[in-house]
Amino acid sequence: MMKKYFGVSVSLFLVLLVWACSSDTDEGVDPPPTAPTFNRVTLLTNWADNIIIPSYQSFTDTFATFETSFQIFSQERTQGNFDAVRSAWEAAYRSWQHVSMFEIGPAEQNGLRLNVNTFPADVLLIEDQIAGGTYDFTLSSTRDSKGFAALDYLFNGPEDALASFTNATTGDGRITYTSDVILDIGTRVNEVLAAWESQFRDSFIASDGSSSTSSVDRMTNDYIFYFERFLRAGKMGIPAGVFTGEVAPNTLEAFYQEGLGNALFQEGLDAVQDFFNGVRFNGGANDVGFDDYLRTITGGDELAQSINNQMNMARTEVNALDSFLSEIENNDPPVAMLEAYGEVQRLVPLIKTDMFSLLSIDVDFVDADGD
Amino acid sequence: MRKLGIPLFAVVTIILMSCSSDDDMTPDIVATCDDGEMNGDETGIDCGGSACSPCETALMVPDTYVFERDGVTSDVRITGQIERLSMLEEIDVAFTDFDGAVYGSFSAELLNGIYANEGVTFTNDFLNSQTSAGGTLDLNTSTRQLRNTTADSEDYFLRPGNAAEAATVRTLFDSFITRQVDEVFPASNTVATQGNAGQLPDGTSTRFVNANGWEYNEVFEKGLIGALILDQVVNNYISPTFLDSNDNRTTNDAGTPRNDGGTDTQMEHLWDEGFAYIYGASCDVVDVVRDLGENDGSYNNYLDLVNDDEDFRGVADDIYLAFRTGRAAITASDYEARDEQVAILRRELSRVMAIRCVFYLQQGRIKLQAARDGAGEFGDAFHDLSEGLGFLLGLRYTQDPSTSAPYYTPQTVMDWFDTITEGTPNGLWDIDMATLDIISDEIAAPFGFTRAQAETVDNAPANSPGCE
Repeated sequence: MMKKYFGVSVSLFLVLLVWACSSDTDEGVDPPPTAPTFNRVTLLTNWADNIIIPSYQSFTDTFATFETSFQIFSQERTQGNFDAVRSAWEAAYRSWQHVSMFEIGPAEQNGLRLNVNTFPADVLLIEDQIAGGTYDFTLSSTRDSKGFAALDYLFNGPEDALASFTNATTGDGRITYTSDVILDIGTRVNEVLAAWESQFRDSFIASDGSSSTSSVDRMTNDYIFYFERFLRAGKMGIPAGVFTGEVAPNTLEAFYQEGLGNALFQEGLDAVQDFFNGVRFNGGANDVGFDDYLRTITGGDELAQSINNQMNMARTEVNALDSFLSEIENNDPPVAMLEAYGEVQRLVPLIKTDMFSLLSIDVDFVDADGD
Repeated sequence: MRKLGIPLFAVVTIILMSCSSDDDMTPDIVATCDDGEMNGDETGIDCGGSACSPCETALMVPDTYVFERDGVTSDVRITGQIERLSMLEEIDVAFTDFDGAVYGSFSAELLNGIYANEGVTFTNDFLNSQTSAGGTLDLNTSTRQLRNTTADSEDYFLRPGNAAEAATVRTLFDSFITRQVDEVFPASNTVATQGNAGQLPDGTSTRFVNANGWEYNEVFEKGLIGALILDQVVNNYISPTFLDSNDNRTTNDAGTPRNDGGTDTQMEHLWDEGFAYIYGASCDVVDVVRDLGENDGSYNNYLDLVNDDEDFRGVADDIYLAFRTGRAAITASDYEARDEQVAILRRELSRVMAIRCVFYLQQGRIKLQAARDGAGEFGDAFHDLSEGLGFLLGLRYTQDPSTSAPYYTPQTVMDWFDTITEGTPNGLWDIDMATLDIISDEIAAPFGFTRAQAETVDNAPANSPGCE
């Protein structure tokens, strides 16, 4: 029942405050800086064609490799094949971090992020469903029994995970369950990619206005929403106890594979920074991004610099940490992780307050009341 | 923050004085109230008596809910209220514990047992260690219950001829339990569709709705915020009729403690029990505003959320001040001052319910439109509407101090409820937006706010989570 604030309120307040102040000064003074000359179509086109769609394509390729490796393992359950499954799963999980932020259009309709990567996994529910042999992955109540977190548990949770798959009486049920989890992820992401490749790409780019429902405004909101809730809070803040004062190591992403949570955070931060700078997914050329949009506005160049500097700072700090699990379990409170988190947190006002203000975009989400 | 009490109080006094001099248009009576002398039947200089504002400045109102009588700290004993607030949290969890993960099983016996505190084992997981006044609670040794305190107030239900309505209300709440078990539980592992119960996603959560799209658990829980919490406060514990019953005035005037070894009089104790339903499970029961809404998910939480909206900000301070002033007035045997605070509390505590109700009906309308446009989730819309329906049921327990009756008649409230839940072929699935707007406007009207003001929480302040 207790509320979990993710610090949204302050920033929202500041945004509205800034907005209110600037509207007071409208009359008889210089108009607020705007960017009437910036071509939103070039931005949207780069996002769609060079970042979003290639990121999904890369994910589905990586995921298909993982799927194949699991099929091989299910036929022949050797240690070697199991090791191959685990490393292919890790590659797919890393790749997921590059598409997770694009919860817009088909992904939003699919509820992709919650269906693919809700953590922590509900281990009891997973074991119940395996034992019972019946489960319906279309139900939202099963989201914490599937997705990458369930795979993390299935591959890394039991003391001897391989033996759990080779067990003469229960192994096959586990294989079936795991295949169904894999199928659910694959089906969903393939649907989303297909939608982008068929019609959504065009309608995404065509919505090039500046209303609250235009693509840039919505994508920018989805971007900060991802940053704040999933990268900042989900991967670091909640496990480190930022919001409750109590550490919760069991809420770490990839909890059962120590250290992977750090890597997944870094992947996510890289994806966020590349998206900010408009870096093409394939080849890494720097194209049109938020940074270029900002530079068309007075003060925007400095802000783009600050944001990039802060992202680099955050990366350095998080890189220096031991595995999140050992940071949390060996330090009470986990001071180093909390300090690194602080550097990640500093990005929130830079983006959500300053960038939104310069781009004249309103924040379109608020805190839920927590029940 | 701790020093806010006195200046606010001064403001309230000034407003009251200026209002009363505006009202009294007969010049020769008013004239004595601002001549700088104690004359006529004034009880102080330019105050008291039949014509002037009461002499409120004589009351020493503390900054926090701590009181003294003749140099002795007065006991504030509110275990019964904290137990019931805890039971409310228990039944909220049990209502959707379909797999028995928390209570070991799911059945009508379990839910009825928690509601009436009969034959169940409570988890005791709520409101315990963090509640400074509560100490360690054990609900399993408690004799209190929620059911017989539902619709059980002095003003509305305990007078001759009122028992029938109380029975009807309890039957209604019983029916939410029965229908949850009979309709929703069997369908809990299927997706809800128009006309069929089941589950629906709502962001990271999953909601369980009946065939008409509403959640019995939300209507039950929010409904009890009205039928139990609000009712017990505004129509019972702070009711002058109840406060003055038996020989309470005599013992209070004499400072006679209740006959159980404490330092509080019976009237003080009753007032404290009213206070406790709103603030008793706060992180710090002495200074309740600091972490408002952080430890108690019932009325306290929604008071905080209404207070977060800049359109209504300050209401939490006003209510806290009125509780403190009224308690100080009782200790001072100043019953006129007490009853002024009763009027403020009745109005403000009722108004908060109306604001939150309109908030949910309007949020539900916005989200329902989004869901119908394919841009949102029905589960999100239905959840807000279900919370709104619960608060709506609670409007029957409001009390307008100028009429001593609810702001909305019981019949009006039930008509609204039926219109939204049953008025279209499939209830919330088909409800039209205009209906929600009309009802919202009618709820807002007696308090003079607009549905637009209540619809969003504007400029919510930063709030650090949990107890500090």
